[in-house]
Amino acid sequence: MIDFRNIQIKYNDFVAIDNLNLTINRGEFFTFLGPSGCGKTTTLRSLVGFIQPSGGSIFVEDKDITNLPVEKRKIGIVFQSYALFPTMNVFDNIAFGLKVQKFSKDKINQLVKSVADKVELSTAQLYRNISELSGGQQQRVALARAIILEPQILCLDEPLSNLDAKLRVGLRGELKRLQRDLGITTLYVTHDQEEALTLSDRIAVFNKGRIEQVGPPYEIYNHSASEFVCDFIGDINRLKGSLITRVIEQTQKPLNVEKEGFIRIERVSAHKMEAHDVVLAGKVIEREYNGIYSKYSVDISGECIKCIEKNDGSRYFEEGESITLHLNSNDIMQF
Amino acid sequence: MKQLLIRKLQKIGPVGIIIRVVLIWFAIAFLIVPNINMIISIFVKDGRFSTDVFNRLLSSERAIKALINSFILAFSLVISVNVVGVLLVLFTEYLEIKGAKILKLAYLSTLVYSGVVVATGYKFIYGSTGFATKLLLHIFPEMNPNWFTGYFAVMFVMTFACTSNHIIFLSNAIRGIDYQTVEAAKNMGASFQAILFKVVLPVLKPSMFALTILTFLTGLGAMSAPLIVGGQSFQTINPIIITFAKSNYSRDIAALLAVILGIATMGLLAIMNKVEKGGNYISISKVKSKITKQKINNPLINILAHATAYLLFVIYAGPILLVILFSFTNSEAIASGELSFRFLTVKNYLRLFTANDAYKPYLISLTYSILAAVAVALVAVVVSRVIQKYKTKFSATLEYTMLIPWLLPSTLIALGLMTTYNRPQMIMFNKVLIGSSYILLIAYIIVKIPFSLRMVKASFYSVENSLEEAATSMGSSPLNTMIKIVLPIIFPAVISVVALNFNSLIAEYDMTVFLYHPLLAPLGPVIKAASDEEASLDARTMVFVYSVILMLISSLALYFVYGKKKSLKKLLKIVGGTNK
Repeated sequence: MIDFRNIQIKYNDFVAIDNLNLTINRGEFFTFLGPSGCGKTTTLRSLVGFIQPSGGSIFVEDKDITNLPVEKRKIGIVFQSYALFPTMNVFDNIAFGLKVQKFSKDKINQLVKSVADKVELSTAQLYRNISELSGGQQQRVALARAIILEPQILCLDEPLSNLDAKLRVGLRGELKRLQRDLGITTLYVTHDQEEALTLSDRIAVFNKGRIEQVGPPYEIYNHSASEFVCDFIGDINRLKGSLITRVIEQTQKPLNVEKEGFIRIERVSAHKMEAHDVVLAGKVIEREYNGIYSKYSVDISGECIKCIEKNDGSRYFEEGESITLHLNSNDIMQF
Repeated sequence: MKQLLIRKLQKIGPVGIIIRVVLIWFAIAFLIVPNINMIISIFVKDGRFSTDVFNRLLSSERAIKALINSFILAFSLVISVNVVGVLLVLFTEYLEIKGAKILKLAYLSTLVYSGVVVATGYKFIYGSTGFATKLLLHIFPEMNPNWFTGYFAVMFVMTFACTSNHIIFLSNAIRGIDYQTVEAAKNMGASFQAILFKVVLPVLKPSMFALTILTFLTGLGAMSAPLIVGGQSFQTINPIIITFAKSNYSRDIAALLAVILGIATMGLLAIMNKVEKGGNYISISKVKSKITKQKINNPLINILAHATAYLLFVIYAGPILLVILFSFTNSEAIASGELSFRFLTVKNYLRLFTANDAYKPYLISLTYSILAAVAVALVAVVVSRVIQKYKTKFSATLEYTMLIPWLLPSTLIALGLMTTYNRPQMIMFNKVLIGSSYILLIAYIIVKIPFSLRMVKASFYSVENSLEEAATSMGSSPLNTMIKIVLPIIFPAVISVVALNFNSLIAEYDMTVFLYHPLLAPLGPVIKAASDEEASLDARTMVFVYSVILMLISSLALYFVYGKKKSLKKLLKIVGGTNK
């Protein structure tokens, strides 16, 4: 469906995107994930046509669109700021593209109402000023405006970043449902790993203008391809040489003592998990209570290892108390 | 190279090319050529380079005295205007003064009552036959009826007429103070005085620097006040330039004086730019709280503050009230400077709407200022769009060229046009502009370009790029996006610019006096002529009416700008600009 072939994007001497190759399948919910300035939005904007690549080509359905003007690409976009026209009401914002394409008045009315239904905007809301809407409603208008022209690709540039945490979670589900119903190929840009993991069919993790790993959420999280991906997604423990040696002593697992090992904090427990657990004794340095769970920082022979325990009513550990941590050596990643 | 140029031209399109050609012509013809030509006219005599003009300037006692007077005035104004300006802002924004809202109304009057109108008004009130002088003569019969003239009179008029910038910018700065910093100082035991001098006033320092330079420039380029109340004893550069420019023999000295004024202006603006770049003390507080007015606990200081505030109220409101009252009296009252019910009449106002010679200057000024205000807004929109859309060497050069008039005193711009277009010039298709009715319109447009450009450009930059991108992604053409998306957003700012420019042009005098068509005299010169000793009583009577109507129009225009959407305030915050 979408093919980025050897894409390079330069700003004077600064290389923002370096030799990017990526294929996105039809109907996929695909996410560009990475920290600020890693090139994810730049790549998205090159697909929409706002940025001209310095090198390489972009193909959509095997058609080279690299030099095609923005308005001819049939790609809908929701901006981070929503970019709603402040001088128009909700209806006119949604109908803007239809009016440009010179649709009849009746057709415009019909299409706007139908798309408003899809994004759950009421008829009364259609005639409100943009400034009278809440953040979530504005987001729905931006989405309606982007899909009304039935684009073959929908691009979402951090669309939830302006909303509060609870609303973000709610709209996340709605977005996914809408994408499934419409069957539209969707490109989603975010720096929020949780959003990426819950929404996406596949994720591309960006770092310094390059893609570090492409894969489904489970694979990205559990089989990170690089230290950067492992560190960027989720919370990790770094196991230095001495701890790696102790793991090898207890399990004979062929780990490299010269390299650091990485293990997710939820894969370390204060309770026994399996028969062949690695057992590490230490002392609680700090305890963070977070409602659903408690996070412990444990000193093990001078190294700090973190673990989380569900607050299920069982006793918790006090700071300074001795603790025994359990982990499975198969969960340790080395790069 | 050639292909690259062709590609660029194709990208710009035929309309874009025509717009650029017109802009280049305009910039060369009106912003560059006249100024270069004027400099040439100073130093080239009979085709040869000559510095003789310096000797003639140095040997002219009048010119040297005017130069010295201008600097004396500028330095004295810096002190007096800053003191009065800071007091006004403290009285209205920081201290708890009873009746502050009414006081503020009077202090704001300079926004609608300025320039030649205010100088004329003060002369009518404090002049030898003025109401205030007659009143004083009753109390002190021995006093000189011509007391209101010379340095003191000019200083008095200008001190109270030049506080508009303080009212706008300093009030904004004081409102920007985070009140929690005041509370923190109080919490640490700081006294009222310590908070005022160590917490509040230091925050105003950057604005004060800029205002000081603006005041200095106003003093240096003073025209109306010295011309109307300066008398023989206190003339400054600009009035002398007018006198010298009238004769062919001394026109080069006038031009040299204008250039000296221009160099001083450029130097001071460069300093101001540096100060501005030094940055303001912007509150770093994330949850800023609004400033609360401070009670003066010391009873003596409190009485003193109230007395000063109300004295200033009388100084500001007095002349305006008297101008309004005298506008309803007959010429007898104006001649005698006495107010009595038997002199009351509405004939003056009726005359304004019925007598050709009475309403003609008004119509002329209205036409010129509306046309110029709209035209300059259009120029500013087009130039701003080119600057915003295309970040090329051409757009950068265009922007700097358009800002040239900001560096030059208006007298210098007028003289440049006079010395250039008093004969056929190829760039003007061999047309002589001097003596025509449209040279004044062109001059008004030129002088208002920098201010308008700064304001409109700022409004363009406040339009998020993503709005245009969103429209483009939905298939909208650049022209459609401009008309449907960008223009409606910047429209309030453009209207503000039109209203403010209209306001400042309607009674313009400094340029008008050089360039107006003899049969089409606008209000500025008419009002000034009415203040002359030899002016007819009828003319003097009508000036009161003109002043009242001018104040009304200006108030309406300001209400339109300030009262409705507050877009000007927002813009002023962005550009920190001034209306030249």
